[in-house]
Amino acid sequence: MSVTRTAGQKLKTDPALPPVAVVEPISFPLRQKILFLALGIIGAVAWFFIATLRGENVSAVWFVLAAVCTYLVALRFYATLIERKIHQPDDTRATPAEEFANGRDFEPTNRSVLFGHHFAAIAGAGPLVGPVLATQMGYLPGTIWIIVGVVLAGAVQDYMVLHLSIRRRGRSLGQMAHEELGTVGGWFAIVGVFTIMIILIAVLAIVIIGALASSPWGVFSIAMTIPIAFLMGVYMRFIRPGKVGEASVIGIVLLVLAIAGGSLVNGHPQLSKFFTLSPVELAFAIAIYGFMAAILPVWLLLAPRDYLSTFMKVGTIVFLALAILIVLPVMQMPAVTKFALDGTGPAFAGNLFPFLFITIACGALSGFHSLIASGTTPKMIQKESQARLIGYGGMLTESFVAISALITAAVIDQHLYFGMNAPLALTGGTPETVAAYTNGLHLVSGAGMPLPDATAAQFAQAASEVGEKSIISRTGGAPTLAFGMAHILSQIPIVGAAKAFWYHFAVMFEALFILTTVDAGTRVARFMLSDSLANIPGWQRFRDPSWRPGAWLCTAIVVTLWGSIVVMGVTDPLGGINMLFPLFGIANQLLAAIALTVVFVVVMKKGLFKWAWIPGLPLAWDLFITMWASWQKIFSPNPKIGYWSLNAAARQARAAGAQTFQGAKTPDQIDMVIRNTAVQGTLSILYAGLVLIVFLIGMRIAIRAVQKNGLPTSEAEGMPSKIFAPSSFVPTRLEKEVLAEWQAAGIDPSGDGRLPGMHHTSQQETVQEENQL
Amino acid sequence: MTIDDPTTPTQGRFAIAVEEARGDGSAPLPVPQDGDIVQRTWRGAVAVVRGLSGLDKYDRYVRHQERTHPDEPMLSEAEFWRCSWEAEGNNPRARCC
Repeated sequence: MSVTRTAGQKLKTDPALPPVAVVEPISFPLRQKILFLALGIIGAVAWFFIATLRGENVSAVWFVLAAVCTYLVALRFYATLIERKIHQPDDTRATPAEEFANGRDFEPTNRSVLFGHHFAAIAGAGPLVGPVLATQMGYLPGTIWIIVGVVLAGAVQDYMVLHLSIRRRGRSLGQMAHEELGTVGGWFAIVGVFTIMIILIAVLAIVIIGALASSPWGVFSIAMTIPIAFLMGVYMRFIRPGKVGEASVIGIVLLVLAIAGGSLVNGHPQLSKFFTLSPVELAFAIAIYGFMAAILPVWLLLAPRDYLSTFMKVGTIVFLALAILIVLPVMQMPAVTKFALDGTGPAFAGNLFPFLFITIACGALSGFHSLIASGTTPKMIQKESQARLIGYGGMLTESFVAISALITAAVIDQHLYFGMNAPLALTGGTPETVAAYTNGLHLVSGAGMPLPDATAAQFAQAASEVGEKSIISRTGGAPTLAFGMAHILSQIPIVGAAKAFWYHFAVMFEALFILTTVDAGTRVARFMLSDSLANIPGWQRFRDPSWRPGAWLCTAIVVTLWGSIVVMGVTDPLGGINMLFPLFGIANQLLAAIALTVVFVVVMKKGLFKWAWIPGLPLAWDLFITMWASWQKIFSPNPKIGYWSLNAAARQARAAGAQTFQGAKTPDQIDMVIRNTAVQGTLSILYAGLVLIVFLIGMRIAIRAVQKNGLPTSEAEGMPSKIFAPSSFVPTRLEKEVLAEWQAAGIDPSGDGRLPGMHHTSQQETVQEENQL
Repeated sequence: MTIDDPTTPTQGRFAIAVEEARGDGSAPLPVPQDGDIVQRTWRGAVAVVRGLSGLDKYDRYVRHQERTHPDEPMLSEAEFWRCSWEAEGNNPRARCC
């Protein structure tokens, strides 16, 4: 018994086929013990140094080591605990990818490829921007939250939602909420998802406007991506039909030329004037762009730009990680700044608790991922047991991106960091005023010594080094990240010579995928809106995607919704990003609360009360901290934090006939403050209310599940699997044995071509259901 | 031998047969593959890049169609991409923040 047990078992579902699943022996070989002991020790030492070193020379290497060691230990132990105690994946059961294989959206995909797909879909500007802003509180709080948060919350959410959706034919979060929480809960969840998408698109647009405003170089190179995409689209459709690879190569070459060409535009007197746009002009440009991109055929703009952005995204993230490892820069920011304690930071207001936890959303816990982990990835996964690597492991990778972003921001000179991230009302916008402002902050070094004063010349020189007129008050996080990247890369010989090129390369990289999120998000929101409108009797026509007036009307509504928030943000006299970024973070974390509620309810329904703390812990923490932040944003009497108290203060100033109010320099601007804060305050109440309702409905069902000792869930019946694939990147000994059996039998284990088209009827059903939500 | 191992109670719901792992090194030897380790690694890397960027979509479609609907007409590469962009336009996928 013990001998066979230790070697494991192979399970068959078809006598004619080799095994399709393995039961690994529960063992912990000595080699692994030594490996994980070593990882644990290295990680602990790295954490010790991060927590205790307080000097001028804290190296980035400790952050990389602490992160990687913690991730590997968590993936091996915590994710495996979730796998064994809650998910109990069954590889004899076909995944939606296998069951409904249609050669298109449902298709079992190699695990390495799928890992890349999943990562590219979840990683965006969020994990880059949030940590950059949070660096104002010092590197320590952000580092702890990013690493601990991902292990206990973010990766848990992604993994559990992915597993849930795999067992439910790849359904989306909205559909699963509908089935598990009932009609009312489902509808609130869908309205929540829609409104959160609107704020998300708007804030990302504001972030990129922050990098492009008054930057002819940046505007030129981003603008060039549109004709480049058109050219690629026409090439793929008419010149060399279907030659996607050739078009991608042409596109990437042109893209690099566009970034380099921006330098010439920057130096040209007329052209640079032409490409210098104000934030408001850019806001309208992005709104028009978003509308056009959502109604133009996919092949002309969206598809070609998607290829460019995938290459840029994965390439640049790997490049940044390598650069950090080569340069091993030293932290300029102290471990904890005074802004963490007094809540007066210029990038965003409020204390560490709770505002750090909504500022770093993606990278530690991101509700938006639950939309990718449900619906998209389950339709491509080969085996249930791969969900640990793809769901949990994919999120760990995103967390590493967030750590890279934090390092990148923390190695910038503190005067420059605060000069870039404080709103214009504080810095005054000129090198002299900004130097006076940052000198007035009384910044201290990592060792606690006062920093030498900055001079105006330093700010002017920093700007000219990266080919910009000014780097003052370039808020939003994207310019700071680009600046930090250029700073790190400039320390590598040869490569680093082109500092201005790298700055604009980084801006382009962020802009590309922000624009992809903007137009893909607009399309998704448009479909959500038209499908909802189609439920109104007499308006069924909205369901037909080829009905142009309906598509255009819905697109226009969606673009107007986010576009007006963008305009509101860029004209905000008090600085749009520090007014709106908290709302974005709150929205994202509240979406996570919805996803975790759904997961928690299912665990309770399955009667796994003993393990309900695994999703329960992140749910409780997320809900607590986000509700606390919402509460402060709604009720705080401090006008720097509370939207409504700021609103009241502005009203009072207006009533008293004041000409100026904080950053507002005219009575019109005071009116603007009154209007904007009312919108922001209303949205805060809306989000918090929606999520509380979903949560309470979920808890009622959970209590009923306890009383009844479990309830039926909406898990699909399933069918036997006929394919085999290892569960992790490297096959185990037992998996190798099974792979060899497939090879000896002369059958492709991945089921390429063997997967029948006989399930087309049930697949039609799934597609139809999907269209209804 | 039963399959309800106490640690994985639901593993193998659809299993009709259970085999013990040999675990003694007597597994069938893998059939020799084409090319040396460098060539195979290169091919694997190319396959991952093509898969990741979606460049192999048409090839996969051809394989799928040949084996499942050999009687139906095969779309040309240009037609295939046209349909697939059309489908993408009607079923947009969200990107994350």
